[in-house]
Amino acid sequence: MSVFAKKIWRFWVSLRLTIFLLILLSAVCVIGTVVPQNESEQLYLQAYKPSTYAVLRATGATDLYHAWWFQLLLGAFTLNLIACSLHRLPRVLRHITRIDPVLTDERMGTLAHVRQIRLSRFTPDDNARFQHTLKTHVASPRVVDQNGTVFFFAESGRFAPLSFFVTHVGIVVIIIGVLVGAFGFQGFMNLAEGESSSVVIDKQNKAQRQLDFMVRCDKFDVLYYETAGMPRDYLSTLTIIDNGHEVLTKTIEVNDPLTYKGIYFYQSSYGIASGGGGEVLLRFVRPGQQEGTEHRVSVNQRFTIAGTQDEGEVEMIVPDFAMDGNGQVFSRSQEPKNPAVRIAIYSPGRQPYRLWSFANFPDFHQKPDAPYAVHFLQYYPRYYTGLQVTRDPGVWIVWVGCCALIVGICMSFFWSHRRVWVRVEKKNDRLYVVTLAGTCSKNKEAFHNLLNRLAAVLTHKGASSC
Amino acid sequence: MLSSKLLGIATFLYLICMAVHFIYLFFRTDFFKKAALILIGTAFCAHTAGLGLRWYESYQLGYGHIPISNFYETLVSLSWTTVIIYGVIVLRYKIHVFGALLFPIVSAAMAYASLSPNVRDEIAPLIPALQSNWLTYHVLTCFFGYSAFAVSFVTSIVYLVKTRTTGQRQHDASGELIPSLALMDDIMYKTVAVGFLLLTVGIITGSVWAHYAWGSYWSWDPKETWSLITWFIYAVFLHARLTRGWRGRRMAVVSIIGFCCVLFTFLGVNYLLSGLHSYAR
Repeated sequence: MSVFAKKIWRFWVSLRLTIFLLILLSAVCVIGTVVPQNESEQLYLQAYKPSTYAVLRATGATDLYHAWWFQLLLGAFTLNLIACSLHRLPRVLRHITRIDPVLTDERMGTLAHVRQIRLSRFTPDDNARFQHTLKTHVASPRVVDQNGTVFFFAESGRFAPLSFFVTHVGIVVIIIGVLVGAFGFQGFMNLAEGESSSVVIDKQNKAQRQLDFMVRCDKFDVLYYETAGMPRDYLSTLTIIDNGHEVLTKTIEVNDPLTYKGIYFYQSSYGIASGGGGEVLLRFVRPGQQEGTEHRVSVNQRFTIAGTQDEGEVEMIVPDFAMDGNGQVFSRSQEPKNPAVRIAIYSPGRQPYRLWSFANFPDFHQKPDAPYAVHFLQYYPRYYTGLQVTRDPGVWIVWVGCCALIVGICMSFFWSHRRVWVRVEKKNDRLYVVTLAGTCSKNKEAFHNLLNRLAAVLTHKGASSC
Repeated sequence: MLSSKLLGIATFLYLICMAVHFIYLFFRTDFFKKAALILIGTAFCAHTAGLGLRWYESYQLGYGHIPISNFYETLVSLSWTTVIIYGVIVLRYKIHVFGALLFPIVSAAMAYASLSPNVRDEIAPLIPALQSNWLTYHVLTCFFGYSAFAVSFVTSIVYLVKTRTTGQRQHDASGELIPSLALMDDIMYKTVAVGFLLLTVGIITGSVWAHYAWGSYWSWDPKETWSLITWFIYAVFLHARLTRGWRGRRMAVVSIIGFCCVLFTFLGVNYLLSGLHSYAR
């Protein structure tokens, strides 16, 4: 590698860069939470001076998380993460794969915990017992005999040092998942009850997107808590029609979407369908009578008024009745604030008679010459359901990355890499020098106690100690 | 309701707990240490019973849910998780001094929850967006994480006070009252480590939930973003310590900054910023 390339590599593998980028990213994210994101120009001009708004807009602070320089920062962070991990990996691999069971004086100098004891004998029985102790407290030891000097080596948590790599790979996999997600889309569709469609409006550019199957809304319902009167559930029954066949029907609600061919349909909003569809409950009362007959009917559906020759028809339903300057009827909103119906009554041999009836004002507009008094008892509006439609091919990659992240963090906090070397040197028939040494990556105190316990086992079992 | 009364008793006991800890700081006798432990235990039992009963009462009202759905319930539950984490530290390390800093916070949170006119304490039904099992996993992991960070924060404060009065010396006259710097450094690290793991799991469970509820696992909502900022700060803490070998005062400062981020994520976002998590007000 040239000097220049080395310099670049050093720059990318430095932990200082990581810490700098993490702090910088945090600071930039703070801006994104303080400045409202992706709002209308009006709202920004209410909150800021035009000059401030111009600066915010030009720097991308109004859509910070999609600004090129924010993405560049994330990219730099990712690169730094990958470089650091790759830089450290070979050293760690060497550390965990090159194991020498022989405890040399040189190695002893590098180890944090060393203990030496002297024994008067070390029989094969003692050997077996000591191996067993090592096995129960650390791991089954490897034993090497070099010219009468016996070496034991036991290791546990061998792969714990790789925890950093698992964690970092998890983060990189999440980022890959996010990038793959860019090949998906987010959009929405509004479906009136009974209506079907395959067109989704893209959230970003408001363009129409054609699905290769149809979705039909069979029914929309709002359920309320009995005691509190708050909405409890928004329910849409959806049917997927693929190639002319109804393949799937599911009632979705918030927190329980429908999935088909990798596309998710989420309950997102609702409203009263435009065009004033739906049904109404009407009561027809003949002049001078008390009792009437009730009919639940929809628009343009001709029906016979019970017990008579007369027929009725609802010609128009207006959810929020209003009149403009020319006397034209229109609906002020789609909310059922002032529902009204126009009814035509057809009696044999007479001109059709038309009248308006208002749900909120039962006595209003009831004329004495009318063939019936019509009471508008109940309005059953035709709802539309607002669906969020999402396809994210990267979401499973993100979940896999999340799992790796959690596993990696658990490994690095709770899994200790422990190594114990033991050397039993025979000085003469009455003197054995035993050296215990080791390292651990976590909980040094417990490890120190472990070495003491091993030493105690040796001295206790080995007849007499010096 | 009985649950409110029990939680009121718990609040009162936590206040006495705080007083006993202050007295212990002055007199340093075993009697007050034991009294504090018994009080913590009693208050915690009342607290647990109050929360459990509130849970039960919500079922009686016909819309049962775990008591973590509004600001009142989150304050009470967060106090509860904090007492648990603190209890683990007390039992494991036999250190009582942190309580003098922690119980003012816990009792203030409890008292604010029940007394402030801004906090509605009635049991309300869950809006459709919150009706999910992920609510429990997400909120509980986050809260235990926040609590671990709170204990780390308290330790850091004690650490800084001690180094200010005695320097970086390991042994001094404060004796058994205030633990050694090495031990406090260790507690600081361990609580941050546990908190970091729980915060990670909390953010991830939140993402999974957002995926099922809103159709997007990450929306850069202010609360999400602030949790990420908090995560970044504690990631700096862990790397500085584990890879660069930082110890002591510098770590205490980072831990305090981290906890300020936690507080902003929990409170500041709700009151100063707006976003998808607005029902947590």
